[in-house]
Order: sequence, then C-alpha cells, then structure tokens
Amino acid sequence: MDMNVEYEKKVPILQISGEIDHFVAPKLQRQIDDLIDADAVKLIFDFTKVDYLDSGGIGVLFNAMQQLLPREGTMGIVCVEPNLIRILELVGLFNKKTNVFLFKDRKEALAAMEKKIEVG
Amino acid sequence: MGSAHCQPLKLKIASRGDKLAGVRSHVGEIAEACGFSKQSVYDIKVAVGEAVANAVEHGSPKGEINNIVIDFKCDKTDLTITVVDEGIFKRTIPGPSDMTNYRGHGILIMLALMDKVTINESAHGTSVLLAKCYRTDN
Repeated sequence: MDMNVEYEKKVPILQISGEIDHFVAPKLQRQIDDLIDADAVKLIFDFTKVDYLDSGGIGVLFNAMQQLLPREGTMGIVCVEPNLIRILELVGLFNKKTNVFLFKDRKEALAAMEKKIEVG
Repeated sequence: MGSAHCQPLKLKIASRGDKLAGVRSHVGEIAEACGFSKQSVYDIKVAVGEAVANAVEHGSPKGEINNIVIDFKCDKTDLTITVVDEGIFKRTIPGPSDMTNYRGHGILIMLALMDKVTINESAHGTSVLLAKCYRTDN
C-alpha cells in the first residue's frame, strides 16, 4: 500500500494505491488519526488505485467514521471497482447514519462535500 | 472447469502479517485454475485472506513461532480451503446491522462471500473451512 495526502478546497484527500489489508491497516490508521487530530471533519479516500480491501482496512474506515460522527463530520469514498464496492456495501459503510458516501470521482465527492459546508 | 485443474495442496506459513499478500495471490491463482469467474476469484481471495488474518491476529498465542496451514481441496462441486491455526477462536458472529461491532466484519465477509463456512475449535487450534460451489459461481 502506498498513500499520500493532497488537499483540495481544504479537504484532505487520501490517495491510496495497492492493497489495504490487516497488515498495512495500522499505517492508514495513523495517517487518519493525524488528520483528525489536526481537526479535519471531512475526509475523502481516493480508492481508484486500490485493488484489494479486507476487514482490516474496513475497520479503519469505521473507526474514522466513529471519530468524525460526534463532530458532524463526513467521509467520501471514491471508488469504481465493483468488487470493492460490493464489500463496502456488504458491511454497511454507506448510509445516512454513518455519513459516509460513495462517489465515482473526486470532483463529485468534492462537490457533494462542499454542499455540506453550506448546509451545515 | 473443476477437479482436473486442481491438485490437493497444502501451504504452511509462519504466523506473520507480511505473509498475507503472498497467500492471497496464491489463493487467487488456484481459484483461477479451478475455473472460477473473476468475481468469485476475488471473493475467495478476500474470504481466505480474512481467515488467515484472523489466524495471525487471534490464533497465534506464541506469535511468529506459530504456524498456519492452508489446505486446498477441489472436487467436482466445490473448492474447499481450510485454514488451521494454533490458537483458540474467540470471535462471535456479529449482526449485519451492528455498526459499532466493526471488528467482527471479517466473519460477516466470509459468510457473505462463501457458500459454506465452518469454524471448528479444539484445544490445539481453530480451523476455518471455506467452500465455494461451482454452481453458484457468477
């Protein structure tokens, strides 16, 4: 797994490539913790180049969601790979309760999250 | 499709997280050789990956000294993979709507992706049997 953080419209975007499994999940967890410690309330995960995700990675996403919820935060997952989407839907990551949403590209994710700034 | 391509095979690895990726690619090759669709190959990789990750995390009381054995069997109807560790199984099966119990997702995923999941506990270790039928392949 490789990862870097970019900012667009002040929203941190975690661009990840490769495989996210139990072994590398703690590295992703630390990166997310750093961003949340620095007061991020919106996070975008760009999974366009991710080809494998297991419950280790999913646990990290749920953990991030649970940290963001009390701050009225939100997360966007950018992903088009059907196999990954299927697993993320299976574990119930995307819904109004979790405030985590699926997008097909960054542009769509940023537009939706910007809207939330105006509303919230 | 089926048994002609798949010889009985056993894989023994040290209980280490950095072995996960290698096991997964091996599982993928076997499932492909058995003739499963791309989606099923992915499902089998994820399910076995979960079982092996569980074994590393929970089934290895002595850490890296412990071993994990992954056994592949392929007959006319199923590909069956058994993951055996040297620890005691402690996880419970979470409800699908139990959002807070996110640590239990591994089992939920195995149950959803495979046709048969059997967990056997013994004093010597836990074995997780995962089977995928050819007839449910899509």
